[in-house]
Amino acid sequence: MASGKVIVEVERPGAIGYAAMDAETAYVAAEYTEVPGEVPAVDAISLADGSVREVIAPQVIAVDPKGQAPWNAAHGGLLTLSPSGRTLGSCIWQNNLCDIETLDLGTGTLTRAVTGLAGGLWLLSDEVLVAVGDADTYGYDAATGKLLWVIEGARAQSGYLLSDGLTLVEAYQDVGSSARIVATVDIRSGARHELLNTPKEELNPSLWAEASNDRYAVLIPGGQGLDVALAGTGSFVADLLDLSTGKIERAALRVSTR
Amino acid sequence: MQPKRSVQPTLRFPGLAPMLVAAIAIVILAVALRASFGGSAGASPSPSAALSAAPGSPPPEATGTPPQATETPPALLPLPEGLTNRTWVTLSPVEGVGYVAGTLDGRSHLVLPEGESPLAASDGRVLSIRFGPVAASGLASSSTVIVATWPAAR
Repeated sequence: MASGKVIVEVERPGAIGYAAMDAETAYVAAEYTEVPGEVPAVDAISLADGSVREVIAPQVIAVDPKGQAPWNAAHGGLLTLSPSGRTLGSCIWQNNLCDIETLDLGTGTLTRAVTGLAGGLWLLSDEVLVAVGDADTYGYDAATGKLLWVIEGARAQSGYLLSDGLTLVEAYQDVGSSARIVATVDIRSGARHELLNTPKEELNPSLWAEASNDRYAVLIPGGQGLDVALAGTGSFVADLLDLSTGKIERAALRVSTR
Repeated sequence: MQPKRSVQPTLRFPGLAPMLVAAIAIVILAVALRASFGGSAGASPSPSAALSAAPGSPPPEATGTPPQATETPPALLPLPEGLTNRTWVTLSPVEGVGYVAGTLDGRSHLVLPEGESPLAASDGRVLSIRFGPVAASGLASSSTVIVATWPAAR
């Protein structure tokens, strides 16, 4: 068990592979089931008392006999919550295409507004679904599935939504110039505001989305991932990108595992 | 409260699916074999545990070098204004230790023991999974979901 105080400990069948959590609830799903074409159920675990309730029942989907049935039926690599905590989303793969499935946690309404995507769901608000392909980022209306905007030639590398659910902070590589760019994107309109543009000749910082917040994006110099940055001494120094001004505070944060 | 979610684009690209499934099976098998022979298991058998990995990449392997206990911890900088002691999870597998995670200012940390893999975090808490016995299919037959607080005084 982790070295902190255990809040809940619950045994579930299968290999749990997806999870999302807010203040009161953890949502979990298995990687896949033994039944070909079956999308595993999504369970909600109360962090108050450990009780479990099913919020999405298992679903059997049609699978191309030539497809990889177990994987096709998985939840597409993630369960993700909107910043408000009202919407849960995942990507249901079906014959190598993604259907974005959202659950309104208030009403229990399950929606697949966007189907047949070659890419996959990345992030979502209650109103907009953000999806990515190999080199593009897309915004879809969560209710109607209408494509709202596309950022073309932008290979998404990391990002997060601000708590207002309206703004995406995205780090991406410009496919044409190979520059590494950090920008804010209004997910209703797709309007972009570039904050940082690092030419390909320079060492690119990595956006550390998990540690970033509404005010600062945390950047790891040198384009390193966390595992590389922490290797050896177990510590590194990060920069902070002020999202309101675009100013970088160099070496503003020392991160250590000890 | 604002949920703290993984925001890396851990996407599934169809072409990688067979490789990932194979990787999962291999890792689970390796975990089972190591457990059977009294060894330890440190790698995650779940591809979704790769929250900090590049899109579509396989789960991280335990290849890092454990920090030496005799090293002097680095001096910590004051936490910049606007940054609170927020939780983060680094899925850095440290060989012989497990996964290392911590809080932003480095003053507290959490080491998940071997065999326990983090899947999600929100402020002050981390959700991890401990897999049960491996079934004949090569998959874990059960999982224990553990939600724990960070150990540090906040």
